[in-house]
Amino acid sequence: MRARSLPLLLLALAACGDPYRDRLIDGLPDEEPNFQPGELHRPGQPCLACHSSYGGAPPFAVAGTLFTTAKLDELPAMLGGFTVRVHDSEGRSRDAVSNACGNFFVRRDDWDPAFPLLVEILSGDPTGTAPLVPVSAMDSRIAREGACAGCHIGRPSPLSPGFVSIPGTSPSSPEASLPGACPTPWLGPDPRAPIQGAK
Amino acid sequence: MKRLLSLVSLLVASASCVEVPPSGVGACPVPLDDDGNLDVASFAPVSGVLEQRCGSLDCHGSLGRPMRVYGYSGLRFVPTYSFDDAGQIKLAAEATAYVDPTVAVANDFYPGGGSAKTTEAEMDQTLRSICGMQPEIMRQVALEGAEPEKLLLLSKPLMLERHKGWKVFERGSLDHRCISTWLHSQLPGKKLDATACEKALESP
Repeated sequence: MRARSLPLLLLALAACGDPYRDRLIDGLPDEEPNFQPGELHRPGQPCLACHSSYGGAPPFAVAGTLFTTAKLDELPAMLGGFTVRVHDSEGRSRDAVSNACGNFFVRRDDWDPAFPLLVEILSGDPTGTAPLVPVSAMDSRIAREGACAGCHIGRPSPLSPGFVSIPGTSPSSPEASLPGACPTPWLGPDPRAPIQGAK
Repeated sequence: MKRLLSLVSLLVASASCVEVPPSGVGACPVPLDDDGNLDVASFAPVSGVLEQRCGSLDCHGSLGRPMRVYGYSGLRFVPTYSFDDAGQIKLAAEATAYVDPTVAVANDFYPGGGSAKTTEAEMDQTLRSICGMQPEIMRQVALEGAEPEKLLLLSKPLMLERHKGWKVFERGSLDHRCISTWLHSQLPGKKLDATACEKALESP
């Protein structure tokens, strides 16, 4: 009887995968050899693909990468030292500061926000006493996607507003723009690849 | 005698039906312009609310959704074909821009959300999506005056039934009033509460 149940159990477990997420994770580039998993890795990629209960990495509530530009004809550079302030629907907020490679994140263990969320970006020294200055705010709400690159997928297209960016800025840390200081930012899926479901 | 009575009743019932727009959309609470097409511009106030409340890229601003909302801050519509002066179908330049960003840059097409106002073509697409989702119930609501909450368009965001995006607005709220008055706006003596739509957008 037990022997009969085992294949059924295995079948049930095998059916628990999420083909959407599997495809998303499989479509991401390999880890760069000089940047093993850590705070600087995979800039521009949809962090919560892996940093979620499904992906297995420590789960994030909100995470992304900040760039200097979202224009199609400009090469984006990663932007550190800015504060990303996330407001949730219950009036709570959390700050995350972008690091040398532009990455920022809020761990889910630290905060489990109530969606939808609103986001603004502020400049200034987050450790100083002077108040931070708002420099940009999202026009729309975030309804459910904690990974910025879940919607800000690479370069701009009809399906994406492009990178999270603060136009007119330059990398705050000159070292970060040196070759090899940060991983190569992900520019999104190949725009020439057919878009599933496109009209 | 009974048959004759049924026939007369049927004829009277048919005559009292409101004509469905010849736009290929079916019943839709939007007036027709002089050419018999949907007057999409009249939908603009409602489109604004739907874009803000429903149309983010992680919800209904997605090609994978049966109900799609296009617009300024989310999914952009790119026409894939147009007609030349001789009436021949041709591939639109925007369609090429879809797969070749250099074409988009060269032609100054909007590349993504947040960079250009919602177009009439986008509102037309949103309308087609909304009105085509439950055509029979839309007919009952828009043309026969049934309760607007019969439509998923309202029952979902009011959380009267399961909705992955949870409750989006409350019954009686400005958003609810905007959409429900729009759904009845083509009935005699009814009109869209455009002020409710406008005020709803004041709240983020």
